[in-house]
Amino acid sequence: MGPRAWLALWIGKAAFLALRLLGRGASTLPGRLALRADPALIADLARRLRRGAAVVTGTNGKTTTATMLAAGAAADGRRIAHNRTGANLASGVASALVAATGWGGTGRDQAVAEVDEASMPGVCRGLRPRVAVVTNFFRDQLDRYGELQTAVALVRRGLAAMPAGGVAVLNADDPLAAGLGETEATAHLRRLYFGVETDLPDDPGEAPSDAAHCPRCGRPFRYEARYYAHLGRYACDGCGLRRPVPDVALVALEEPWGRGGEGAFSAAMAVTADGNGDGAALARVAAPPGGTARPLAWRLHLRTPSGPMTFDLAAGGLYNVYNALAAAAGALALGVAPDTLAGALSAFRSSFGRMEAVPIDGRTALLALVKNPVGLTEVLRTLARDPDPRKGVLLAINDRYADGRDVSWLWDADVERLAGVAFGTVVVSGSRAEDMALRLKYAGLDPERVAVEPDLAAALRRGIEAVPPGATLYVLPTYTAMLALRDAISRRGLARQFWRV
Amino acid sequence: MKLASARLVIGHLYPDLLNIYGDRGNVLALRRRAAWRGVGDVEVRAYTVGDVLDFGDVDLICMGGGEDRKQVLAAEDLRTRRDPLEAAVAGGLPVVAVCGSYQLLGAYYQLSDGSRLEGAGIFDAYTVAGQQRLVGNVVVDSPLFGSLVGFENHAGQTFLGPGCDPLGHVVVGGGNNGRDGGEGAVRGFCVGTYMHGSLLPKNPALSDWLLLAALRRRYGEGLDWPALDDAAEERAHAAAVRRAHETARGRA
Repeated sequence: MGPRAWLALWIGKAAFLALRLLGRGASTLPGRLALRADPALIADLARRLRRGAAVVTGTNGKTTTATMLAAGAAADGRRIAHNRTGANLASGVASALVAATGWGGTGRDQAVAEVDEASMPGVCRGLRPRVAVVTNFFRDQLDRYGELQTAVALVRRGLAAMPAGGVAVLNADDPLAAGLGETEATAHLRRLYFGVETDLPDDPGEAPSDAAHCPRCGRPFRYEARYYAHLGRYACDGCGLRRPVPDVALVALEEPWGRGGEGAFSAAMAVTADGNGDGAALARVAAPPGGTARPLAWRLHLRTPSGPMTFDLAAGGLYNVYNALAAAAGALALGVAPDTLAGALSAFRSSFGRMEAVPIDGRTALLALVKNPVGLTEVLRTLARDPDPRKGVLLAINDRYADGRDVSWLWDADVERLAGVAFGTVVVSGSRAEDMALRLKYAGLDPERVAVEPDLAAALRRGIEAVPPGATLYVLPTYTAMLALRDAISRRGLARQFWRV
Repeated sequence: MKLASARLVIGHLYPDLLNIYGDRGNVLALRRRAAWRGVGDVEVRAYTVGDVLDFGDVDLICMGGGEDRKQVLAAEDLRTRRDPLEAAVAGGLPVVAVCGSYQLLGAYYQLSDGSRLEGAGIFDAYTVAGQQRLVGNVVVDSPLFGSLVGFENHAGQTFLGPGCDPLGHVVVGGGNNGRDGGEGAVRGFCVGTYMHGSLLPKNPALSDWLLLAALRRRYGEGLDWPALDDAAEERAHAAAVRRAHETARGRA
């Protein structure tokens, strides 16, 4: 490492120290300062990682997948550098590396970084990751990216910058992600596909499909099975493009209440009892008095190149099944043994704001970040399967830069799902509260049932008070709304366990 | 004429190709507002590349925006329907075309390499690829509809000829080309605009104008046309206008 890199490292570390003394969290500033001192710092610090790096990118599921992947690698006894706060631009990756490198330059064993699509080329040129996981491509913040193909192209450039012999871990069920395996950019890499090879509960709904057309010839795909949005088992009758056979495949999925013995979850039991066990109640959490909330768990059976693997997944939502598959494939590519990995994934709990349960005043607030139509549709799908009629919903929609200024995506989400759902109250909040209220009206909800409270803290209070003790308030915020709600919750002295910056 | 015995067919063109900016919301707004008024039978029909489409079978056309590649597919198909579409628009068929499809209704789209993607020529207008995308909230003052609000995101710059009028004058945002202060185009009951957001839910005056034009075309004057409670629409409109002014001033 040259003098410039040392200086940059020390500047970054000093910034961490200063921010900590000020009692402030730090996820991007130290990295930003350090990169200003040495723009090549990521490459310098990456060379000090004994076992190299892995990156996770794609539209949805980056944070959860990267956290699962880091947990899998850590369970193997590796000391991991990880941008766990979700700061996924170059500055966030640099911050994580600076924090994980000693003043004397001692690096960790391995880095696991979630990387924003737009930052993929730059970060990969520096990090030279030996594994890159691509979760999926959905339309997201088009006001920033222009269009979906732009995001795909950026990821392709990132993959091209990986060292020869690296592994591209690609979602076989997403034609856009899987298609990366066919390009020049990955010709020097080993390709490892993950996907679903079993029927999933619940219908995929009418969420908009971003890639239902063959990227090669433009013909609509024929789907043998569609899981959600454009993810599924597809084939093109025009040019013969086929979904790759997944190397890491979900071959069976046991539903949470199917195994018995979890009697605390009366709602889930009720669903089983009346025979409507259609994938419900993933998000049902029981908050025993004084105890911590505990979610139900799916059981996943995987086929992998290293043999069969089974683990429990205590994170709600079908999309988290995909996140777990992606993380499992990534960890196997990093050489983690299946048994070790299964233990780590079974112990995994959602990170804050990713379908995480927070007890508030005897109720449970279930926070699920929403940022694009597919994500919102999937969260609503989970919510719709919760049979408790006392539940409440808080939708907090901001339109700040980090959220995406354009809120037209609210109209592309399958909000209609809410119309048939039994719940007590709906509160809408954020700088686009009125847009959300209007969306609900056109989805068929009686405007009388929808309370508009633009102030986020007041909306949270109102939502919590509107559900009876013991019931769940589903809190669905955009990114900056989530940060504001997180502040509001921590000011109430709750959820302190989530600040692991 | 009682609306209960009326029938309204909304033709949604290329929903599989042109659909990226909440364009479903426009179809939904038309469908709901017709149903809330008591129109007995409201049907939405999707048409895409190669489908048989007789413009006499539909009362209203709705089209959205798409990515470049998909827009080319839609353009090729739309060109084959030029003559019947021209006749239908001349005969008063209401059309709402947002963003990409607005461009396709013009004479051509000139790409940055100088090549031209030929349009359907319904509007006396052409579009040229611009250097910079126009992205952000838009507020328009329209002689027909008063205040309109939406969100634009386009690299193409559209210029109108004398054969059509702009939908309105830009108050906030870029509009057709960021230069002449015009936004959108109107010819008869055919409306093109860059505003999504979605456009129609927050601009009920425009939705109702399209609906009424569609129903009158089939059933003549003398429809009972009850007013709706638009309190939620008006609040959302006002809030969006407020945000447009705030973001234009650089406030978060």
